[in-house]
Amino acid sequence: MRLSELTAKKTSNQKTLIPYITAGITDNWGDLVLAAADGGADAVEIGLPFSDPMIDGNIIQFACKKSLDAGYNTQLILEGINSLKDRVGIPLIVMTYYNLLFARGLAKVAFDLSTVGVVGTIVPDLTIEELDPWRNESQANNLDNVLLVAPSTPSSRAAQIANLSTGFIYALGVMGTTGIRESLSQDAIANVTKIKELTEKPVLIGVGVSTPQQAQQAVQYCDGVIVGSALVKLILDKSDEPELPKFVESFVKDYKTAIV
Amino acid sequence: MSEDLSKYLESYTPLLPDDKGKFGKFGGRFVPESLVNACEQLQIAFDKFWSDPEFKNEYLNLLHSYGGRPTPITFCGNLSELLGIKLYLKREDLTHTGSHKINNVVGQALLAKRMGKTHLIAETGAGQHGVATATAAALFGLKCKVYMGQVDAKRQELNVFRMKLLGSEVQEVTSGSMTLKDAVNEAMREWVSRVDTTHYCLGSVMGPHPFPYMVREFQSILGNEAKIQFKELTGGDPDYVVACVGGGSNAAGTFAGFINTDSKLVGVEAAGGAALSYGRTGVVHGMTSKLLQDETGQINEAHSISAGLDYPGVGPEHAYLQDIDRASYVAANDEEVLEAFLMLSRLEGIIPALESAHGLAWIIRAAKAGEIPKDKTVLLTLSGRGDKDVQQVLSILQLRQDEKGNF
Ligand SMILES: Cc1ncc(COP(=O)(O)O)c(C=O)c1O
Repeated sequence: MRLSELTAKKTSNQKTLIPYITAGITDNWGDLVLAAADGGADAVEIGLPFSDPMIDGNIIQFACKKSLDAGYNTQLILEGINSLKDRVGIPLIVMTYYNLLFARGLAKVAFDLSTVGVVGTIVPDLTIEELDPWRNESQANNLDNVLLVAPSTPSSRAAQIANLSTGFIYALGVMGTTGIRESLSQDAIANVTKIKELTEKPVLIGVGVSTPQQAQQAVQYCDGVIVGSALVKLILDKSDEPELPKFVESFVKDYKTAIV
Repeated sequence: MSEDLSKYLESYTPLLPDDKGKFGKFGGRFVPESLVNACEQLQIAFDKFWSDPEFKNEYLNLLHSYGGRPTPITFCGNLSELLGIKLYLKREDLTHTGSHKINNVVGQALLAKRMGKTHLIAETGAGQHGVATATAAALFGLKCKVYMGQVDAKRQELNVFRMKLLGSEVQEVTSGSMTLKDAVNEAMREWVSRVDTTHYCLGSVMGPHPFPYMVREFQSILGNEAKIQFKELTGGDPDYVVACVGGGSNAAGTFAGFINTDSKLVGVEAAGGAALSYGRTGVVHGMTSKLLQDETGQINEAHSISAGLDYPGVGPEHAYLQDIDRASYVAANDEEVLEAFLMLSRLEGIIPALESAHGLAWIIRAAKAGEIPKDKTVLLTLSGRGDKDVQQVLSILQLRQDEKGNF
């Protein structure tokens, strides 16, 4: 299922929930992805860890480092995703920084991602000015390109981004890095409101949605949310507990309940 | 008594990046969307002010009255005789704060002020750029916070204290490898969240467009002065123009003066941080350039005797100059750098920064090997003075001194 189908089959009052999980955060990270699906996730964003994650705050930085220190790399993670593909039942999106794609070769990695069942990518350090090479390979391999719009993005540029983005539009909820925030920011609301005026495509808020209440508030203005740091923190805090997949499932369920 | 520096820039024709901020296939702007607007605003402001004679005058006057420019060129008679070449130094060690970094920070602080910013943030490795930024912040009444990897902060305690003396906050960075590359990441992250009030005063010719171009322009006074002074002194251009390369700002500023001459341009990296000699093309810190990385694209750490060259990437303009064969890049190892450091101290009475000693180390090796033929003229940019390094050099030399205390 492509991302566009995921969002198309929903009626206007059904909201989309996409949890983010860093691949390799624990050795059973694949089970955590399945648990998120069981909890009601509509898709899962899988992070490929990078040594220099510029847009990430402490929590996801730590998760990336933990995964890399444990020896995870693109190849191992692709194999992990491949083993989930027939069981997970929901679309998987990969989030990573451009250098990891560049290093493997754009054509090769687009083919590989598609082969293991990934439906799209989010590459936060790839701006529309530099997008063409990756966009061409993505199109050739049926991968969606989910693009980001920031609170600081002027409307004219946001319209261009919205036009090029496929699947959905990722509206950054804060001017800042990924991380847990006390409340949903005014920036988030202003940003999605701006984007909604420019496009019919679905708009999801990511970064800065850290509680079910914030998610509930967010979806008053948009089509869904991406929840990253709050989930990653839970996984890091409880990484030694055998019940971890259950915790992930109920975490996701709480958000799902909040936004329906 | 007042000298007008603008005469040095009169006949300067800069190498311009394309409309995406690229030098050939290198450079560009690979940043999160939240920083695109800030980079664009900065580019617009820089283009506007850099072509404004009033701004340029204020900048050059400050470099003169505050920074100590123009810096002289010194002929090294003793080393020249020993090596059979004619060696000249461009003396950035004699500037205020003791390195070329001042040229860049005065420009950026002035620009920040014109843009209405109230805060500066900066990354630093050895601490030289941090000290220079803290200095400019004090001068312009800007609040300043410098990001420094915890490992580097321990190695360069005195510079941490200097920054604090100058009224800056020093934020130790504990993420990643806790060195310069992580300080860059952390400063970028901070910039994203404070972009309205804050200018990111980047320390070298790296990062997203317009930084590589802007920093080179602010450093171009170095090479343009050198070109004119050298001509006055000798009647011609140097056969070789040499500079050390960390991120590449002193080299870029130096090369800017000689790019349209027949001089051979040579950049010298630290063997343990030689992105141009051993790296592969990739994307980090907002730019496409040559990087030290593993096959999967994870960035490696750089290691050398000089913290100021411990950067796993390099400015994109250098990757381009290498690509088109206009400049060549070589590496010097710690041992020969230490030797060069001692030679310049003993034979010329000039204690160089360990970074700058890399340039000399290559010159010594190349002159001895005949790679630089006899009697050729060589201009080396002495990017900084060695005061900051004497403690580290002492601790290395103590390990190898004889019973009489000679090393
Ligand atoms: C004296 C000196 N030279 C050179 C460098 C390297 O920087 P760049 O390559 O940008 O000139 C540094 C950096 O700290 C420095 O302090």
